[in-house]
Amino acid sequence: MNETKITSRQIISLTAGVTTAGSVLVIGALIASTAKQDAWIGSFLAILFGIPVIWVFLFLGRRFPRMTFVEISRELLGKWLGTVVAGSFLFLCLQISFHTPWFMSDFMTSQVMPETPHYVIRALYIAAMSIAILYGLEAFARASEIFMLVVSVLFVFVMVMVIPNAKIENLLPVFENGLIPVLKSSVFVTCFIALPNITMMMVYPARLDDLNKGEKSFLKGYFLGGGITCISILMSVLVLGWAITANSRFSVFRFANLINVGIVFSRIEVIVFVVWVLTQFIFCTIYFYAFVIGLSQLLKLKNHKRLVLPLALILLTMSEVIFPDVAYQEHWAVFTWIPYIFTHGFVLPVFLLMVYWIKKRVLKMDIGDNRGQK
Amino acid sequence: MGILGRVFRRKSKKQIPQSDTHLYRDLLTNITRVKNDFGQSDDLTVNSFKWNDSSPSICASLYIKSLVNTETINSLSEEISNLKIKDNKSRQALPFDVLRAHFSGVRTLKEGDKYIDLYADLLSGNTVFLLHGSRQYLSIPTESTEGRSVEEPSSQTVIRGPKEGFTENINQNILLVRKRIKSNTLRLENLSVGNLTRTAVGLMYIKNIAKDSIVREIRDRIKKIETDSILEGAYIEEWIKDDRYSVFPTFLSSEKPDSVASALLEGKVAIFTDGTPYVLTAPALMVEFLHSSEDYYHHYIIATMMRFLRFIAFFLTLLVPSFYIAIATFHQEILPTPLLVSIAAQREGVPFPTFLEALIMENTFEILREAGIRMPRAIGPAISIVGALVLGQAAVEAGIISAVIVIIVSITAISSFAIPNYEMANAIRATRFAFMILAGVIGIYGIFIGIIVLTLHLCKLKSIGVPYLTPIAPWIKDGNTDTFFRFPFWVMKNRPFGLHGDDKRRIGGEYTVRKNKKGNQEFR
Amino acid sequence: MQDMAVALFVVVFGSILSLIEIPDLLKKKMHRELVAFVVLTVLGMSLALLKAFGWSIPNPSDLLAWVYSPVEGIIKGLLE
Repeated sequence: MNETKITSRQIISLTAGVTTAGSVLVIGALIASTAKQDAWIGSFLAILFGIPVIWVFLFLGRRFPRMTFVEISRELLGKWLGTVVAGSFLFLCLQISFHTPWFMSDFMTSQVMPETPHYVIRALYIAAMSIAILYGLEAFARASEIFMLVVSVLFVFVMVMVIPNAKIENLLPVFENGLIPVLKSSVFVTCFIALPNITMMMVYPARLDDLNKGEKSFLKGYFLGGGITCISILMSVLVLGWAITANSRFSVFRFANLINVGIVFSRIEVIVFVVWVLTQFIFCTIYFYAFVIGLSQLLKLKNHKRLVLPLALILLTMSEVIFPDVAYQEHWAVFTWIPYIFTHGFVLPVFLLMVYWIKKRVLKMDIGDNRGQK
Repeated sequence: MGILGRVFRRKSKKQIPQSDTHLYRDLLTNITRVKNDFGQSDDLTVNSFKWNDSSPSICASLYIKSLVNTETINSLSEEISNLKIKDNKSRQALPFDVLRAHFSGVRTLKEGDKYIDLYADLLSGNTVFLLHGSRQYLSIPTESTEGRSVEEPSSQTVIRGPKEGFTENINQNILLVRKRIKSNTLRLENLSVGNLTRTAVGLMYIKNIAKDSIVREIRDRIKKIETDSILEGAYIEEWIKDDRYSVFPTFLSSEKPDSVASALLEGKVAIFTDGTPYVLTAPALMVEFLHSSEDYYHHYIIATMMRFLRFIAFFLTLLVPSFYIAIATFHQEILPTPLLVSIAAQREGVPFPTFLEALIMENTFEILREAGIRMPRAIGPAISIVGALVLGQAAVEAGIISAVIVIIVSITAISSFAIPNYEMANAIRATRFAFMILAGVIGIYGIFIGIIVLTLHLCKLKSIGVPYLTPIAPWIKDGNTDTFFRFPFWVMKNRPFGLHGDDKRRIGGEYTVRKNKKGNQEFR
Repeated sequence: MQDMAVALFVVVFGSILSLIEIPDLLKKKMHRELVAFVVLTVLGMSLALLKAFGWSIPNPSDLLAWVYSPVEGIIKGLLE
């Protein structure tokens, strides 16, 4: 693997992208149906609940700098168990790579352009992802800086524009059903915003110059992404009310429709579309990249770029197979995805952490790097 | 050396055939050899003369008539006749010693004994002296400096600022830049590239400001070029580019000395090529292709406004035709209804789909543009009338195209002229066609994917190892005082763009005129 | 119909890709990459062809749903 270096600022944008994108679609509906009008408190708590998860990532990153997640698991768990665990993680990455082109084609055909054949949309998206990886991680990280800059500006613009339509009474009464629903929903949301950052573990320690700045950047990116999610849920409830939010697939898209500031164009939601496409692109390219790099590390290949194009072909076919229809997808996202990402995003790193502690303290083995140990 | 020496020399003469590469003792053989190698060219002038009556040595002077300056030759012959007269009176000395003593004071005198070097000197416009009995030659520079005089650059005009432009003579170009940077840290390195053309190439940089690694890399790359000809800086650019295939230029070419001087002060390396008025600077960043030297000569707010206009023009020229195609074909609902109705009414009788229409008009405009470059001045106005009236107006009235597309194409064309650098405008032209195809096939989604891929491509490009989109991505902390906004000079404390070597700070002091600190009471 | 188009595209693209890449990999003696490349390309092409001819491809989402089916009840309870 050639020595690509990422600056800490690029870590911010990559993490923010992964955090935001993981949550945009199903989140609004999920959290609003559980916590109702307190959905915004739930999302805010979700950010806080995610902090320990991020801390686990950072801890592992500090102890094993310059190693990706796959390498860490092989180091800690030995060759066989480590490979199995890494393989399972990589399967997760592969699944996500299948999902996003599906989301794209579903969104485009349902909202924007009904007559376009699905595979064209998916093929273009997969082509863009492959090009991103073939150009290398450095180029992609730089591009993500630009994308997040654009996303932030556009997001603020849309949110500010929609303020006139906000009705504060949609937030009342606060805590009508008590704290429990809020807590429940926030745990769910954490699964969408914090845990997907496990994939950043394939990128984060292995490619960074300055680890201290990198840790702060990881957190900054997480807060930025979490902030975007939180504000979008807040505005969604403010403008549409919790009932509509709970029932709509793309709530942010809906309320952007309501912007009426006398501008000429009537489809301002194109801006929301742009925000969504860009963050999704960062998200799925990171996952695809994680899969390619992980696979080539497991197979001990020297050049990971050779695998990209054959994998793209597989992606093209499989991204149509995974979700037969929308109802299946919505059911799957709640009942299967949440435990899936929970096992891999939380249980797995904690497990690795415990193995590390056992090996270090109990067995007194000398593993890992002790830099920064307080 | 003595007898032994002569014996050894004779032996070595037999072993190594030196006759092919080194001069003979015999003057006539040398001259015949030179004349044969040049194919009895009429250009080659050979004059033999006796040094003086007392010394039996015959000298010959050779030069290529078309390459030398007649005045210099005349003054040279005067000097030599004076020398001959002087030498006649004093003790006998070898003619070459006399010449050496006279010329080596201030003028460059070269000596050698190989034919290859002799030819190189002859072809550079030097005068070469041969002496019967000596295996060496002397050469004195006498080259002519015929060429264009310094005039306003044809391609980069400014409203305010110096109107000097480079010429085809490399020495004159170096002079123009040296005049502006009077520092001993300004270094110049001369290289000669191209087997047949032996073009003189000059590398210029400021010692502590330019990064050493960048200078070294450029020097190594140029030295590795092996080709027949270097006729323009573009040849060098193609040979040493980082990315072989991308249309986007990674070297900034300029015809104005003040642009090159300011680039040198930012830490870049300038590459002068003999025979062309375009000087390359490397590394070049994408934002620089949208900057003009005028930005620094106007007020900073005005300059910032003009920069924004240029950035907007950049996006317009890239995306307007594709957006029109996408909206008119796939997404008509985006437009407000009155506009939509009028566009639909105009497109009523047009036989082509929007995509084809746009393609036809764009191609027609490109043909007009190409024709405009080559046409003689006399017919110029006629062609613009033809273009405007016939193609635009008449075609619309005949119903072949709609009026909207003429507007679109004009906006695109005019915006492309707002981009200061011609290479970049061409790159955008090429990319624009790709976007139009994407828009025609898939609409707005295609344009977005295209923008994403374009951004990725630009992020991947590097110019001598420096990422193309610095200082935006990677974001340099204080390096953005000169990208989108032109901050006033007292704000630009460090050299911009993060390219510099050791010497970071540009200014020592602050804004010199502060309200309370003005010297005289009445100026407060 | 769409599946046929996809399959055709995948086969054509896969073949062109193999024609370009395989000699290159052989020349550079990257045997591990060659094996992985061939396996993946064959897998990709066969998946596309299978789908085009109507065979149903095992859905990994089904697999995961089955793996996590015991947890479904818990989540449902939590969501109430």
